[in-house]
Amino acid sequence: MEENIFENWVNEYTETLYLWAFYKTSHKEVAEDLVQETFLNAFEGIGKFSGKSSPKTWLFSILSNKINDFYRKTSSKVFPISKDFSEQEATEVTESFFDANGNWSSAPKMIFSKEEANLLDDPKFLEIFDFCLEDLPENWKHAVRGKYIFEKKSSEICHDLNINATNYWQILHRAKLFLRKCIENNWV
Amino acid sequence: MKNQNGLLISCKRATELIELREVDSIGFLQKIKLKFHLMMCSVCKTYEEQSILITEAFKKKSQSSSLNAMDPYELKNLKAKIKSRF
Repeated sequence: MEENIFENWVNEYTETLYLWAFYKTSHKEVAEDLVQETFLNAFEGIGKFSGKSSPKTWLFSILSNKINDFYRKTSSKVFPISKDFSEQEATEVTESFFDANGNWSSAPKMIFSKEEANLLDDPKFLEIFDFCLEDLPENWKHAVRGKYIFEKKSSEICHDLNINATNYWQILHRAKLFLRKCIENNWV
Repeated sequence: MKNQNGLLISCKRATELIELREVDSIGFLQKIKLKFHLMMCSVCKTYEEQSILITEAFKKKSQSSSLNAMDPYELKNLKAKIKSRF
């Protein structure tokens, strides 16, 4: 009986819960894990569900706690260690684009530009873009996705990543340099 | 271009200002410096164009990406995963 109710809940609320978790974490795998844990907790703690609130509200309150835990637990190292570039390595890469005087040592080449009107509709370009985005260190990814895709406020992103405003735009700057170079390298 | 008389900024600084202005409003003097630099430096001009293009690529992603809906296949998988755990 309970399992049937649960199955209905999973069918009905998985998507909304996931989208919220994805919005809050900007990270697909993390969002999926949090939603799974939410249902698992709900299943184990069904006795605590009084029916006074809607199941949706109840599930969301569990998920919100999970999201808070996720950020609290990992405030210094927010994301799972990935095989991608570490922040330090990626910073070294972007620093190497300039010499000590701030002149380009690896000057951008005009091999892709917005003059090519359909570039953003070109699946090959978008594929390279996604590939390069995945290559960024996790917290850089979080910053650029938060800003450009989710259109989050700077203060919200700074809070998520536990950084100040200067760190934040430095990350955006380095992430752009890194992405641009990656696209250039892969765009033949 | 070395920072000698205050009006000239380095290429690195120019790229910083290009990104900074997307986050925050930059001051009048900074705007002038950047404009002046971009008039003379075709490499940074290229950077600027490509940077804007990358911003546009993000915007395009945000329109098409899974903000309002999940990919049906992924949703099905996630539901199955959850159900298999109880």
